[in-house]
Amino acid sequence: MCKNVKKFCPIFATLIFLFAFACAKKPAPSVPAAQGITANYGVAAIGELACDSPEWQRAVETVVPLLPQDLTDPKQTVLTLAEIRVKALCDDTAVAFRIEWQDVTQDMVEEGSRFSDAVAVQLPPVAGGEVPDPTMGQAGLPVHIHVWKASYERALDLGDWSLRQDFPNATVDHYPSDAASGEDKESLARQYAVGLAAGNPMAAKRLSSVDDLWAEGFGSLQPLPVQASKGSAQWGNGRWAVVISRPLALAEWPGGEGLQKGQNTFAAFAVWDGSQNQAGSRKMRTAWVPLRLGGAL
Amino acid sequence: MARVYNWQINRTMSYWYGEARPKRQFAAVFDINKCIACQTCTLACKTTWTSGRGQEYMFWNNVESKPYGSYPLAYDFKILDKLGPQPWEGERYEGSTIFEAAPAGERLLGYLPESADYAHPNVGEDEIVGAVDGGMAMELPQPVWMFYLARICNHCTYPACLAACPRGAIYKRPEDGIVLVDQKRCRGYRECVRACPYKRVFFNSHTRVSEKCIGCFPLGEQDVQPRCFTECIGKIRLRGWISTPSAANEDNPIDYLVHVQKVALPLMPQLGLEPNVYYIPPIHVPEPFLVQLFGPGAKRAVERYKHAHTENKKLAALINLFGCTSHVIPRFRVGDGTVAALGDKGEELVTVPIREPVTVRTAFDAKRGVPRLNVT
Repeated sequence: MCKNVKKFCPIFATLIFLFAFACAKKPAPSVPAAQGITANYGVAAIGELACDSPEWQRAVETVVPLLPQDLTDPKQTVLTLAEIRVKALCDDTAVAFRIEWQDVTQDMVEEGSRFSDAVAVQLPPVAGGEVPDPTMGQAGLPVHIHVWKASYERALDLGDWSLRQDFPNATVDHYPSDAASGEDKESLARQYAVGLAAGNPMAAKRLSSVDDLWAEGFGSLQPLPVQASKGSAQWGNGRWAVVISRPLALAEWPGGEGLQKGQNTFAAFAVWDGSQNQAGSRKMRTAWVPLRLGGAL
Repeated sequence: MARVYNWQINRTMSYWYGEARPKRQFAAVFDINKCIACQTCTLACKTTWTSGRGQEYMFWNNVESKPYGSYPLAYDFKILDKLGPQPWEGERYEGSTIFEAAPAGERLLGYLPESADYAHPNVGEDEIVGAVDGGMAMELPQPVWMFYLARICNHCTYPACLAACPRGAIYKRPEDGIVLVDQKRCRGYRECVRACPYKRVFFNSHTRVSEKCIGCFPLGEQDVQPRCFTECIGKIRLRGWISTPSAANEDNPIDYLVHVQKVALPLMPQLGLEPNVYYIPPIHVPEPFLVQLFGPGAKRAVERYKHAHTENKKLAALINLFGCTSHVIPRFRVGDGTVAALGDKGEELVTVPIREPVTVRTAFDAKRGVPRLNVT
């Protein structure tokens, strides 16, 4: 008997160690997409949440599988990523999503043949009623889409654009606008930046790393009249963690009275991998996932 | 996809949208035999439209030294290689266009150039390969020939860029057929850059949207030719309007060169875009290369052009009208020893001699008692 105890002691000790190790390394609890995303509320300053804010440790993580965008040409028929992990928090006026996914390349440059990593969250403008098509809505049933791009995050960090940000060894002889004086300088620079002169928000100086958009089906994406969402991001160990926070409701946003805490609605997501030249409809998407805007922490 | 008729390949073909020809179609003829690659056109365009941030390596007009010069690098070889060998049966194209060769899940057959492909817009022309000692001669394994190919957007009847844009941010103006990127609507996906086989759409990384040649439409709206045309030192370019073959008008200079005499040919018509810049092919280049670049009518075009002064006075006269007015030329008239450019109502825009008077000066100036040099 004693001999047996002695024999099994190291095994017990190893099992106990392994159990303790497993407990210590146990990931945050996660649930499948079918159980939905719960945006617990009671957190102050939703708009200020960063990827590593401790508040996220108290949020339940939902694992959302990705689907290929195989509905409209050009398609993304190959899945380069299987899933994203989503958490959400809300307060009385805003909701924030923390989206994490694997991406071994950090693609923050948007230039020529280089594309930016990006992620988007899509919500119906109001809860209840007929649910819009999950693929960017449909005529008469629009959706709000909030797109975060790594290149926007970079632009916020770097400030005014210059060629050397993308090509460190490049030289430029001359820009005519630089030689002009006073008001002419700005007007001449604007004359050559036609996207800016035309009022395209894509060309404007970045104030946030998130675009607020709405759509009524593929190809119909438009900026919302007021840009209000914020982004925060971290890349490390081959993973992106991005926080997108948006107001629950804004009077200027079309589509109804907006969302309110306590409501049940849906969210859908899309991911673009810049290293795979993914942009526009070349993306991976999700189905609608139930979203509960509220729940006690 | 819809079925549309493309007269350049003599058959119907598949295209993303139905056939919707503009009221008038912007068109141009470039006489390659006159081009000296001075790049004045390139600089005229550059200073007018693309001297801003994000446009550093963007040339809406460029002149490349064929066969190897290309901008972006190897754009022509790459798309022809992707398409693979394709047959013409006489003047009917039996191969696949880039729309018909679209892989599954794509709107057409395209590719995205590498960023570095834009870094050498004058490759083949200005690089130094080494010094040659006196008395040496260079021998090459192939016949020695080259020519300059000036290129702008072709403002195609079936633009690949327009077909590819998933947002409908590219449109063809019904009044003149000029193809434009809506600078307010574009979101910089670069589907148009992938799609255009001529690679005439460029991504501006400063404004994050794509840009392209606009055919100098603000000038065109005043019946003035684009800057790259009016500044051309070699007088190689003529801007007008093109009709469909069945509506061709002999008094329309573009119709006359393209449809009647068939001396001006589209660039790579087999791709299926029905491009609207036409080239009088170079007369000294091997036929297979010309056929690959300009289609099966290349040999006939070269022969007619070569013998224009002896066999076709009207053609010879019209060739002399290139570069003689900044006005768009919708009509022309050949007189006794002269050729006139006419406006839409037949008004005379300019009249020039078919042959400039020739004065031969002796090598020695007897009056001043000095030999003449070129500079005297």
